[in-house]
Amino acid sequence: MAFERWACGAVRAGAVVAALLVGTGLVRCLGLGLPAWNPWLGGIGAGVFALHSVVNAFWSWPGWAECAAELDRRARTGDRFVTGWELGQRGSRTEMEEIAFQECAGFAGRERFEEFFPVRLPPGLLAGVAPLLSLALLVWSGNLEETRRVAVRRSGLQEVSAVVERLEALAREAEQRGNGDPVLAELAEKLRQGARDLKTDARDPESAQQAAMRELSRLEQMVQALQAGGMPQQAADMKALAEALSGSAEFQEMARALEEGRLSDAARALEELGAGGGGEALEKRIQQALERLAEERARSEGMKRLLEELERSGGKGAVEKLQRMLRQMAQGGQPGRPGSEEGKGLKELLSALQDLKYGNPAEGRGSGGGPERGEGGPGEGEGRVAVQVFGKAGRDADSAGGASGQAGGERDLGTTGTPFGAAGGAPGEAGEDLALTGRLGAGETLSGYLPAAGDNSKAARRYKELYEALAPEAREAVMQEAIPIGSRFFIQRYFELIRPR
Amino acid sequence: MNAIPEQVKEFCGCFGRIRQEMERLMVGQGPLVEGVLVALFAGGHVLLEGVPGLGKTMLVRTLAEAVNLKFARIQFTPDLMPSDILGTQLIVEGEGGRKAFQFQPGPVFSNLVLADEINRATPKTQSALLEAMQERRVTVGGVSHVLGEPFQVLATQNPLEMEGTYPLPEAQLDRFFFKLKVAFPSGEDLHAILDRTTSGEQPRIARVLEDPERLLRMREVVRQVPLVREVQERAVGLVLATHPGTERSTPLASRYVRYGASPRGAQALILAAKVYALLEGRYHVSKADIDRAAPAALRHRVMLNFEGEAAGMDADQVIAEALGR
Repeated sequence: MAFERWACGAVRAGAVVAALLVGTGLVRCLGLGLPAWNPWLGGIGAGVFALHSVVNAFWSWPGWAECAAELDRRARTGDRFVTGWELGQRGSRTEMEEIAFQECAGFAGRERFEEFFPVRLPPGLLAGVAPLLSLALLVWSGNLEETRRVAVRRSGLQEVSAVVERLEALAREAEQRGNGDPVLAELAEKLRQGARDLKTDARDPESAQQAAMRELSRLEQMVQALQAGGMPQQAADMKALAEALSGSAEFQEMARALEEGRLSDAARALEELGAGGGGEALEKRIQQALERLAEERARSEGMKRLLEELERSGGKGAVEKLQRMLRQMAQGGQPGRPGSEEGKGLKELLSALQDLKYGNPAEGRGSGGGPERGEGGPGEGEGRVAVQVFGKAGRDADSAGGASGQAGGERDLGTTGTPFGAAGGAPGEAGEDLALTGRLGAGETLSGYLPAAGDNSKAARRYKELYEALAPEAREAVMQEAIPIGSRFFIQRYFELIRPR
Repeated sequence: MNAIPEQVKEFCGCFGRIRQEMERLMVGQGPLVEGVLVALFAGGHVLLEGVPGLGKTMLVRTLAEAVNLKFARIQFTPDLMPSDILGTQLIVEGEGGRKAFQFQPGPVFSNLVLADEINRATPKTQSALLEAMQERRVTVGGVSHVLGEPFQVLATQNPLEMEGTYPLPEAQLDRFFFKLKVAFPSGEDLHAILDRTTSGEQPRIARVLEDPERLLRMREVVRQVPLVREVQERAVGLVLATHPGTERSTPLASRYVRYGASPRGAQALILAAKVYALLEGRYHVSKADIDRAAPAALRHRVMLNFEGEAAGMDADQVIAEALGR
């Protein structure tokens, strides 16, 4: 019948639309590139269904007579609907027709037809409703998942927001400090890139922490590589200096130590020579050797700086200055100029990165508006504790690399967060107040280091030398090997514990 | 406006009373009695088919008594002549010895004619009723004689396979409004028949209709019952469904039917449906009324082919299939 054809057409239309929507949902679930669920999509689907139903009803409308006949068939009314409809359409009715019409109209108005129209869904409707219901559940589940994902990502971003802000601040500071220096500019750009990568990788709190550790390790490694960039040049300088000094018999031992890279021994030999007398002669020879070296191949910044100082002082104090440079170099740091922004910035940057990495967010330490390490007064800066340091005098705060085995350069991870002490603060003059950073708990924290006499004993020297030789290799191995970040921390902690004291 | 309901009410009352009177004698033949009365009020002839002894003749006689109509019974035999039914011209000697032909009406000139065992007469004699049944008149000696109204033929026939029977020609079959089958009574009904017919007192049939004009008025009322096209389409569809080779043919009709129901069959469906509608208290015909009338109105109009006869097919099966659509 036309009525049933019409109803079936509407149901088929609904089934087609539902199938399309289900297909869309499946494609979305499979992640084939469709955009996320949009409420408009459901509206469009419902609109298409409604439009199709209207058009279908318009084109396949069976007519009122057919509908009346269908109602009569379902309600078993004795064909009163169709009779009443057709008689009502007639302009004039006979007496019997009028009575029949009135009777049919009265029947339609008097009778109750609910029982004749039990709610029976067409069989095809279930096929249409089931996909729609599935689709609704699918969309609901998708929305919940999307909401959860957004919340997790937001918490992940919150987790790394402090690190990201700190990296961006460091990048800005590196740019300001660099003042056109290409190395620091590149470093600033890499810091910014690291912040961006960190934000991208922070999908959830757990991965955010891992990404932060990974990124900070990468940056730390990069800064350390930049710091160590001058080492080959420094070694070549030392060899050249050894060659220049090897001409004098009294400098043989020192030259041999320089050639072999034993800078501490070289410094010690120079100290012994200075203690043995003949200071002016020694200074003259050293100055001549340095000038000859400068004429030939003076390459390193430290060497140039040493020569400049000697020229300014008229050649006075050459032994002491060379000795100090060698000690500084033996400690693993650059014999940097006092005003070198690059070396200073790298050091402070490395310290900041390590603070971030090991959870010691010492804001302003070595950077920003806070006083620098070794320069601040007691109580200055957030997170600092004023201590009285009884370190060995004669160190430049900037050049104090904090290498292992150096008296006064020892730090604990709990206060510095630097396992190898490469970026640790240097002790100042005897009796000078220094500000050491540390993790502040609920109460006040006081920490410090009191060097013992044994630290400079001969028994401890060999071990210190061995440690100094192996520490850089161990640090590089820890960074280069595929060691989990968490395990890497414990390895570094182990080396910190076995550091000679 | 109030005349119609009163007439309908009168019709229903008469119908019910006549049926009640007839069922006093016709035990267990309710559908048969109703069919005969429907044909009576629709103005159609009835062919009753059943084995001898089931009360066919009694049924017609009872009806005649109840409606107080002129009743004639014709026993059809192989040697029955048409003139025995229609009448004949007799030479009558008048005053002065003058002789003239005078028409002597036959038994067909009655209101109710019982053609008992009509299929025992020869086709020639059977066909003598054709004009009377359709035109309500007979022509004898070049002179047409109009039959009185109401006029209804109630013919009985034995099953065709019985000895000494002549099948009715299709043209005459088509003139019967209904063909009703007289079923053998059940055991309970048989007890009742025996109780009523073998006791000392015979039940008397009361006259319900004193005036034949009332019957004619009620027939007019029946014809006024409106019928809408949608319902009429049902009758047309049923008739066409019995015809082989049409779009609406049923599978059985396509295979086993030689000729389907004629337009007279559709007319019979409509008129009977109108009676049924009034009996149901409605002033309009419904499809259910059409369906109710279909077996009796169409079964004698559906001619089976040889294959259908050989397969033992029955016209009622073809009609039932058409009704099931």
